[in-house]
Parts: sequence; C-alpha cells; structure tokens
Amino acid sequence: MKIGLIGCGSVVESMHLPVVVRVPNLRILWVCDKSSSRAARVARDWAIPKACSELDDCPAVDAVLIATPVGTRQEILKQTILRGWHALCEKPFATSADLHREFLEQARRAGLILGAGYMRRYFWAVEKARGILRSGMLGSLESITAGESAHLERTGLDYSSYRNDDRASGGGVLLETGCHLIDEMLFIADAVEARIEQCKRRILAGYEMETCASGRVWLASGGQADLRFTVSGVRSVFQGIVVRCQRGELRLSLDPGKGLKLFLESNREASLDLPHPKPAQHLHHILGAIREEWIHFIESAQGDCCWSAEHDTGLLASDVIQQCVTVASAQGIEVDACLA
Amino acid sequence: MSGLRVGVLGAGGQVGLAVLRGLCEDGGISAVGICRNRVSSLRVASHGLKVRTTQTDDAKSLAESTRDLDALVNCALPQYGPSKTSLANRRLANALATACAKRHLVHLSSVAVYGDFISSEPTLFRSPRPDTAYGRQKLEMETLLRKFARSQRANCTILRVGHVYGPELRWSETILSLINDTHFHLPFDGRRPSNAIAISNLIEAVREVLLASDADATFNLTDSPQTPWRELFDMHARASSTKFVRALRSSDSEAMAEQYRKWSQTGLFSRWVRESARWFLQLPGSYLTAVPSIKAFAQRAIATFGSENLDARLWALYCRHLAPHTNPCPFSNIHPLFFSDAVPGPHLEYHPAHPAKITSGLSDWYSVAFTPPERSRA
Repeated sequence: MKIGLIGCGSVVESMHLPVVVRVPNLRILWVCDKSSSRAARVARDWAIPKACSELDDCPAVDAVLIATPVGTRQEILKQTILRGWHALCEKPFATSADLHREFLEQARRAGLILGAGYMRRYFWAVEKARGILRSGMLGSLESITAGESAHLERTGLDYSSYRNDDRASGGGVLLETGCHLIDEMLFIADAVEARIEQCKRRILAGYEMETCASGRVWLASGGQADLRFTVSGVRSVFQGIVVRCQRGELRLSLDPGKGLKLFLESNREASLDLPHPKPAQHLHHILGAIREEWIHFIESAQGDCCWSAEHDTGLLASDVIQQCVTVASAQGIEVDACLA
Repeated sequence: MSGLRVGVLGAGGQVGLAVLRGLCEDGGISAVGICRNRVSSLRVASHGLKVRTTQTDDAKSLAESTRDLDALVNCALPQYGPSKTSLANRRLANALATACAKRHLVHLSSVAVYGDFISSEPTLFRSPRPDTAYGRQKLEMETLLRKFARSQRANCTILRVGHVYGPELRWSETILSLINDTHFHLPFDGRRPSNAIAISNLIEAVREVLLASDADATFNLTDSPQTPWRELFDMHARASSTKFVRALRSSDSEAMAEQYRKWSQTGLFSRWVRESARWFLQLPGSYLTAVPSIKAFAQRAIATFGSENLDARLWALYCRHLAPHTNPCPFSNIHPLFFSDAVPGPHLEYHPAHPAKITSGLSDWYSVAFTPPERSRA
C-alpha cells in the first residue's frame, strides 16, 4: 500500500514514522508540509522519495496520514476525499460532532475509510479492562469516572506552536488532551450513546483550560451507567480511570506501561494487581499502540477487517465534547477571565 | 529592601509556578511571571498571578518586557534535542544576561551537574562531571550565564538546587511511586543525605537571596539541615497512608555504592570499553539460545559427528546458560542517587521553613491527585 504523510510535526517524526517504516507492505511515497524546508528535511532523514509543500503537487497514493492541527483539517480532508485517498487522522478527529459527521458522510459517499489516532484504545490495560467488563465477572457497569491533568507537563512550546492559536488547536484542553480520555472511557465501557447532564468549563482569554462534566452512557450490552470526568490544564485532579461495577472495581493508570488494579466488592480493602505483562519504557508502549492503530487502519482500508466509521473515528467522543460545550453554555456556568 | 519587583522566568513550569506563588505571598516582593507562550501564561494567570508573555530567548524582547523589574529568577531550561538545546541555551543565557545588565539574576541550576552518583570529593564542586543530558545542559547554562553576565556586569547568583519535593512536584510523584513499588528497597536504610529540598525551603531561599544578597557566586541549595532519604520517604508514606518502604541489605548497599562510586570516577571512554567487552564476552551463549538456525545447525552437526560424551557436555553447558544467574544484588535497578554522598562545596545559608509547612499540602495533594473520587455524582 502506498501512503503519504500530511504534516511533518514532531508527532509524525517521533511517533508515526518510526512505526510506519517498519510496517510490512507499506511504502511512503511523499511527505507534505506547509514548510517546504521541514518537509524536505523529513524526506531526506527518512529516505522518502518526495517532499511537497502543496497537496496539489502530491502524487496519487492509497492512503494518507493527516497530522495537521485539528483546526486546519477541514480543507485538507476535503481534498484527500476528492482525490480518493483513505485517511488516518491524528486525534482529535474534528472540532465538533457536526463537522465529524460531515467528514464521515463525505467519505461514505466516496467509498473511503477514515480512521482517528485514538491509540490509547490499544494500551494493554484498556484492552484488558474492556475484556473483564465484557466477561461479566464484575457484574454490570455502574459508573465510569476519569481525570487527567495536563498542567505539570513541560509545554515545550515556543511562539510558533499551533497550540497558541485558538482556531488551529480547536480551543483548549478538552479537545487537545480530553478527547483521548473521553474516547478511552467510552471504549472501555463499550458505550453506544452518551448524554452530558452537567458541565462546568473554565475559560481563560478564550482558551478552555478545564472541563468537569457528568452524565450517562448507554451500553452496547443494553444497560446504562454514570459517566464523570475532569480534564484540567491548571490544577491537579485525580489521574486515571475508575470503572465501578456491581461486584467490584477496576482502576487504570494513564501510564501505558502500568497494569490494572482490581478491587472486589466483598472486601474493598483487598486488591489484586494485574501488572503489564511486558514491562518496558513508556515510549515503547506508545509506539506499540500506534503500530496497532496503523495495522487496523490498513486492514480496514484493504477490507480485511471489520470497520465502523462512527466507532473507528471516535464519533461518540466528539459528540460528548460538543455536548460539554453546549451544556456548559446553556447552564451559564462557564467561567471566563482575562489575563492580568 | 522592600517593594522589590521580580520577574520569574519559566513560571509555567512546576518549580517556576511554585516560586512565583511563594514570592507573591511575601509582602516585600512584587513578582510577575514571564512565559514564552500563551498556553503557559494562561496557566499562570488561572492562579490569579500576574504574567507576561514574551520571547524569552530574544535579548531585545526580554529586556523590553522586564525593564521595570529589579531582578529576575530563571527557572526555565529549554529542552529539545541535544544540538538544538545547546543553541537555545546560548540564546536564553545571552537574553537573561542582557536583560539583567547591572541588575540581579538568580539562576536555578541543579545538583544534576555533579552526575547521577554524587561524590563528596571537594574538587567536584569546581569541576562537576555531569553524566546525563539534563546535567550537561544545566552545567552548560551555568557556564554561559557566568560568561555573559560578566560582560553585561549583571550580578548572577547560581543555585544548584537539590531534588525538589512537595505537592504537585515530580520528585514527590517519584517517591510515592517507589513507595508502592514492591521491588524498591531503600539503600543504607535511608541514612544517606538526600540532597533534596522542600519547595517551601526553595522559595524561602530564593526570597532571601533576592532581598539580602547580590552575591555573584554559586551555591548548593538543599534542605538545611539535609533530610535523610528515610525521613523523606516516611514523610510521603504518612501523607499517602501507605506502608513504609523496606531497607536494602547493608551488604548490598555497600556493594552497589562502591560500584557506582567507581563508575562515577571512570571516564566515559573507559566505561564504554569495559561494558562493550563484557557484552562481547556474553555473545556466543546468547547466540546459541537466541538464533534457532544456529541451534538447528549445531544439533545436526552433533548428530553427524558428535559422541554421547559431547552430547552430555553440551547439554550441561546449555543448562548452565539457561539457569537463572545468581546476582549478588537483586536490586541493581536502584538509581545511583540513593547511594550518593552529600553535595560538595558551599551551601546557601537560609532560614528553613517550618517543618509543618513542608509537610502540609502533601496529604491534600495526595487525596486529590491519587484517590479516586467518591461514588456520588458531580
């Protein structure tokens, strides 16, 4: 399969390229970036035949990776669909659920496959938790609670970063960091529908810095469960996912190298550690998950595996994010502040 | 000196933000955060702190935006790949020295300049031997700042800060994670000095340097007196209601400390030669068990030309190779810094914060960041 890479940011260079060059039967024909010098350097470093700065100059391929900021994706996706290329998009897939559906509809009409870079679905603990829930050993799911802080990370950003641009970044922490967490929760719960009932957002100078929401999810198994999450770019919140069931509880760390902790209802104090079977460096697990994501995408594009546009692009996560925005504005509990 | 106006660079980072908050609590100092991007500035502003966004590695921009300030505290360290970081260090050092011409600059360096294993040999203070990229970058930044500050006649105080612990800080996260790691045992039962510093002590020390000293010198900055590892781990265990960490056998502690001490005194080239030789000597055995075709070829050759005696000897050799190695110390992954001595050289004298102030906040932070929320809905 011949592929092209659109966008040559650090995620492409440090995450996708090391994986893609080792996937069998995959050949990178070109890289495209608005900075021609960057595209040329990446092409040279990774022995890619062609570097372009305009999508129009890129030769035909079977599929592309779109790794440009989410706010710039609308026009790019339109062009790739017009040219008949399957596309794997970095997360978040779209800035709103409406736009997400529009992309899916365009791709469906053209008979193309779209994928989203929700690689956390392939983390060992996430797959294991989903498996345990499906087995029914803990009884039915009652609630799923999660949290993630992004405030202690080194930003490592200079002035040119797209994250300084509200439009390019999609507006804040919920879309940038939260989309992963929300998708992870919905994936573990095997949710088919979600409704956000309460949401509080903290917005500073037009940039969303914290969202705390709660609501309900409808499960593929037929039941319902509570959903609650907090994503913050400004303070410490509980980091991880807690899955509470009738007969016990599962706790997941956000670290891909960590395993699960299982608590049984009969004795909350006693817990069982289910450690990751292959202890390795953090980066090793991330790259492994990205490889799984690519293989799933390629097999979907070749018609070799089961694919669902809504599920594989994380439409429900986009829907939850859009509901958060709507509910928070409707309830009038958005807090806005300007820089001193 | 009251009404001192201070700018804190890198205020969006974990230490920078805490320093800025701490300085702002002091009535005698008016502090403002200085960040290089909008996202960091917003984080700082969300705490109700004053912040400015400027191109921190551009001398003109930084000088312009800090013109009204009396002193700068640098908590920033650009971190990219090694080559880009070096260039970024140079630009930042130049910008800082220019902005602080005839003013006071307090630069937070790190004890990482002494290497992973810190030896107390006195010459190490003047000629540090960092063995990590982070330590090398910190040392490079010190050297550049000294050079540029001299030419700009800026007063530059360099503080080689120990491992900073407290709520929301990486070191406390690491300690909490080690407490819960059943494989971790504390060398020397934690009697060695930790070379660590509580964030409240760091803030106090920076405040005293700003108010009382224009010292153009370099100091180590740790808890005063030094906190032993045991005390530090037990403090975190109490905050998280976790059991205390076990001690490593003293013979293992001694053996590993000696090994790390030797490593720290050996040059990189010599270590490379020794470690490569050790790796090379292990190769044939690994090949035999790891490459199926070699194994198959050997089996065929033995079947054709071998004898029962050779069979038995090879089988014994193979079993010996597969048998678990008897490791003199099963805890060889314990980081060298737990075996280290106290940092050598002059320590900054300051009035340490009250111990209660140091521990307060750790429990609150643990209950927020590590304990799942209750079942009730938001």
